[in-house]
Amino acid sequence: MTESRYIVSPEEYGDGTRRVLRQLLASGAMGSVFAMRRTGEEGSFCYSLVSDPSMVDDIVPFYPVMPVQAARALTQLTITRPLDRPVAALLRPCEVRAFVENVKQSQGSMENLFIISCTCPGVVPTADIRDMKDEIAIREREFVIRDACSACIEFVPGPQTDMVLLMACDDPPEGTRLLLQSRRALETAAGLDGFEMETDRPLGELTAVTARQRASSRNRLLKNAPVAGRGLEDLVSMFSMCIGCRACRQACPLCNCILCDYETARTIHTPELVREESNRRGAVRVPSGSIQFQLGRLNHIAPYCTGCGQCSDVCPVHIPVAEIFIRAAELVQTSLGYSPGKDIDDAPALSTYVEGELQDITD
Amino acid sequence: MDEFEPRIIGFLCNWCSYAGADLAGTSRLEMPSNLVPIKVMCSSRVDPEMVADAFLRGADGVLIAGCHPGDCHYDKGNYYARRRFAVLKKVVESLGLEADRLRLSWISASEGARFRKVVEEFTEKVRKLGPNPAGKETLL
Repeated sequence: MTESRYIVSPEEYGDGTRRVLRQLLASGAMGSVFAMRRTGEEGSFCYSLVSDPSMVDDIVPFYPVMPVQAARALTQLTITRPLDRPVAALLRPCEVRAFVENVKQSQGSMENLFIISCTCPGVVPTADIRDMKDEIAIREREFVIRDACSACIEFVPGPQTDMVLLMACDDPPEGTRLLLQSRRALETAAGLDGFEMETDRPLGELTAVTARQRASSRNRLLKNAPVAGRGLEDLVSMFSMCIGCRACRQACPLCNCILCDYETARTIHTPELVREESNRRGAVRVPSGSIQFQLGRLNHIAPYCTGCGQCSDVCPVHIPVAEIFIRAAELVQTSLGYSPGKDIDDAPALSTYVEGELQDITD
Repeated sequence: MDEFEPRIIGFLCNWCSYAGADLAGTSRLEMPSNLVPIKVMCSSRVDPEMVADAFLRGADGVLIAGCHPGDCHYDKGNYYARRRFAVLKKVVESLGLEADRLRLSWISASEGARFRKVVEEFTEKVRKLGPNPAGKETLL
C-alpha cells in the first residue's frame, strides 16, 4: 500500500482528539475511553476509564507523562474477563507493545479494545511531572524527554493500533491528523463529524528522518550505557545504593507475576547463609540480595522488555535500571529474533523454539 | 598457596545426563571431583535465576546438562532450556560478566564417557579462568 487514509481537522491535536472521543462516547460507538486525565491544578495526572462524555474535557491526549505504564492498568482491567463494551484506549507505542506481550502471556485481553496511539515524541521523567503545567510549552516541545524515550526506535505504532495521531514526524502537522489503520477505524471515522478524509503517504515515510535520529541516539545509549560490559565491579558499585524497594518491579509492565520469586522463602537469604557467607568472604552486605534480584529480573524480562524506561524513572536512588535493561534486551532479543509486542500471533519468546537454532551455545 | 580447585555446580537432568553421570560412576571412569551435581527433572527446570544465584554465591562454573535435542523425556523441554540459556548468556555478556563460566551440554544416559569428557574439559577451562570474583564480593 503506497497511500494511507487520514482524518484531519485544523484544530490543535488535543482539541481534535477530545472531539473524536466525545463523539465516540455520545454516539455509543464506545462505552468508555481509557486515557490520561488531569486531576488537579498542580500537575496531577492519571490514567482513567472515562464513561461520561462531559468528563472528556479533562483528558489530555498524549500529554508527555507516564505516571504508570498503561499496560499495567489495562491488565488490571482485563485480567479476569475481556471488556464487555468497546473501549477507546489512548496508548503510547511502548504501552501497546507491553500490553500485547501481557495478552500473549494470558494476562489480559485485547477484545473490545479500540486502540488510538501516536507517533510518540516521548515523555518527561516522572520526577518532572509537577513542573508540567503549561500546555503551550508542551506544544512547543519545551521539555526534555527520558533517555529511554530518546533512544526509542519503536515510536511508530504497529498493526494492533486502530488509529494513530501524527505527533513525532519529520514535518509535524499544524492541526489534528489521525491515521486510520484498521478497517474498524475506517468504519468508526465514517460516523465522525467535522473531519476531512485525506490520503497521504504511509507513516513510515512521514517519519523516516526522525527514525534515523532516534536510531543514532539509541546507538549512543547502547554504547555508553552504564555497566556497558564493564564487569562485576561496576555492577556492584551501581547497585550499592539499591534500597531494595522493588519499585522497578512494581512499575514494570512486564513484571506480571502475582507472587514474585524474590518474595518467597526460596530466594530470601537465611540468617545462617548470610553468616556463613560473611565468614567465607570476610564481610557481606546486609540485607543482601539486590544484585541477585536484578540479575533474576533481567533474565526474566529481557526477552520481553519494550524499553519504556519506567523502571529508571521510579528508582528513588537514581540507578539507571532502564539503560541496563535496554542494552541486555537488545542482545537477547536479537539473538532470539524476537520483537516484543510486534505480532500478537507470535508465541512469547520463551514459550517457543526453533529446532536447529542456537547450536553455537551448546555442545 | 594450594593450587586453585574450581567448584562447579552441575544441574543434571534426571532422565539423560544424571543417568550418564551414574554410568560414568558404575563404569569406574576417573574424572575430576570438582563438579557438584544437582539433579533436576528436566534441563528446562533450570530457571536462569538458579544459575545467577550459584554464580553470585561463588560457583566458579555452572554446567547445565540435558538430553540431546529430540530425545527429551518431556518431548521438548531441552529446546526451552536452550532458549533460557541463550537469554542468560546474553544478559551475562551485556553486563561484562564471564559467560565462559556457563555451559550447556547434551549428555545421554548411555554417554558415560562423554560425561567424563565434559567434566574434564569444563573443569580445565574454569581452572584457567581462575576463581570467580563474585565469590569474594561482599555485596550480593
